[in-house]
Amino acid sequence: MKRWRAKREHQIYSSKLFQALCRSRRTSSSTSAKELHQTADRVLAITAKGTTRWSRAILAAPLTAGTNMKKHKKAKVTVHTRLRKPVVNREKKKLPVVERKLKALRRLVPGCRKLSCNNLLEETSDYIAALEMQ
Amino acid sequence: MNRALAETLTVLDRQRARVKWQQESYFSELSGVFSTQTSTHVRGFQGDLISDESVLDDLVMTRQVKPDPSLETSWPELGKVDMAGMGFGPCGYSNGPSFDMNYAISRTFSCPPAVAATIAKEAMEVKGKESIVSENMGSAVARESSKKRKADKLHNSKVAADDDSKKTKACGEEEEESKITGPPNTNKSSTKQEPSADTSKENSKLTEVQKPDYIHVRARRGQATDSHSLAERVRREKISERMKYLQHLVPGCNKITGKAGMLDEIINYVQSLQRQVEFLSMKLAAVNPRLDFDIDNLFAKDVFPPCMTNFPTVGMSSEMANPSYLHFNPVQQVVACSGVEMGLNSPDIALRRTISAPESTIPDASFLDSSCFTQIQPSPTWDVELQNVYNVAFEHGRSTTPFPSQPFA
Repeated sequence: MKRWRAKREHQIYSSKLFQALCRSRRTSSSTSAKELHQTADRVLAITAKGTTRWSRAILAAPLTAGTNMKKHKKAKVTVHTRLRKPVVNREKKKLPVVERKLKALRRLVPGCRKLSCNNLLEETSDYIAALEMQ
Repeated sequence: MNRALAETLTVLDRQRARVKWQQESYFSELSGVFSTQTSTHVRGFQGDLISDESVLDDLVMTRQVKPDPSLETSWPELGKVDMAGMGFGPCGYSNGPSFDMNYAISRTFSCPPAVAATIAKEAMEVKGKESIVSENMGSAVARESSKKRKADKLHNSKVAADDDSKKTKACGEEEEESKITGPPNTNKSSTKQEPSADTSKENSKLTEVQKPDYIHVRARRGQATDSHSLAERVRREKISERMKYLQHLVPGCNKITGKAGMLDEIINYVQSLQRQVEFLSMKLAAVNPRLDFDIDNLFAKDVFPPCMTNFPTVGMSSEMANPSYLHFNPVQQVVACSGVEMGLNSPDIALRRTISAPESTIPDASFLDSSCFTQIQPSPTWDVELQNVYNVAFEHGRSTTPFPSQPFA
């Protein structure tokens, strides 16, 4: 997370962004916002140097990112060890509250649809830092 | 004379017998002797010794006479002796076999590193066992130090590896029983309902963290020592740690406690960030034709401000303005040319409004915020200023002029 705050990283990102934009403009005369967005995202992902999940997801599927909102299956419920015994109804309602939020988060952060709670939070923090830089 | 002859004969016989015995039964004796040892580590060593047989062969051949007297004296003392020392007996016999197992192992005999590693591991086990057996009194000390360890638990709060836990389980069961008879501790006794079944992570307090590749979990005082609850606790702590980090990242989340609220804020923040990026890209796309002109000037200067800085309203340096040029100057040109002023203004305002809702107190908002809005001002004056900016910048034209900071005063 520290790296998203480094000046050097900012320079790298902006120079790469510039190059990518020039290239894309040379190839296609019309630059829609979406294309631009995708380019920017890709450059951001490149700057991440492949250490994070979301960056890999962005790079792996640039065509489908953002456009294809697949209906994802039910988010895997994290197995609480408390659930070994039958759950009281109240507890049942409690868990999905957090779970639903995690679901929403999973939808937001690219490439994190199947992550556990733990890793998801980590990816989110990295993603937030990167977006801030962007 | 006869007696002398007889003596010499007997001496010769004895020597021959000794040599024969030495040659034939050296290895078998060694292994036999080792198997009679109580410690199980011998078997581990056996494998190692077999590999060292070649060494022994040479040594036996060359030094048949020398080790002979020492052999006799040392055999009875094998009980104490470390196997490793014996393995290289011909070399180091003169050292005396009475040194402690640990010392011998710590001594850097010319063992291959792999063997040494296994030996070291087993030594640790032995050490652990010894410490358990001999430190019954130490349990009281451990209790006291548990409080201390609570303080630096943070350093050691990692999950124990499975095999490590099994090891500690084996050792821990012994220790558990000894601890039950220790100083009374109501908390502990209440939680120790199934001492035999639980893995005693208390044991990890005694055994030193000598294996840097394994990560240990230290159970805190007065907490359940159930393996499940321990793993759960570790997981929960990890999650809370990450949530705290996110709290630092997401502005304005210091007041909100609780996972649900925090998650809400996080989601909102991520959404707003994404929207900002979209908006920025839209802006950029609209201004694309002018991109080339300004970029050269922009990148001529090497200093890029960190995007996180909180832009003061008045003190906007020209350097800070550089990245914003990319957005503003082209925007201004286009604005002037195409007259899409209103179109651009409204998204600004709209975005500002959406941003201000969840992030009302953000001084250090994203780059977009700072460059576009610097301050969240009431809309009518903002519009006027924005338009002023556009007009002024357009009049000045190129990027050589410093970014006008007066409108933002």
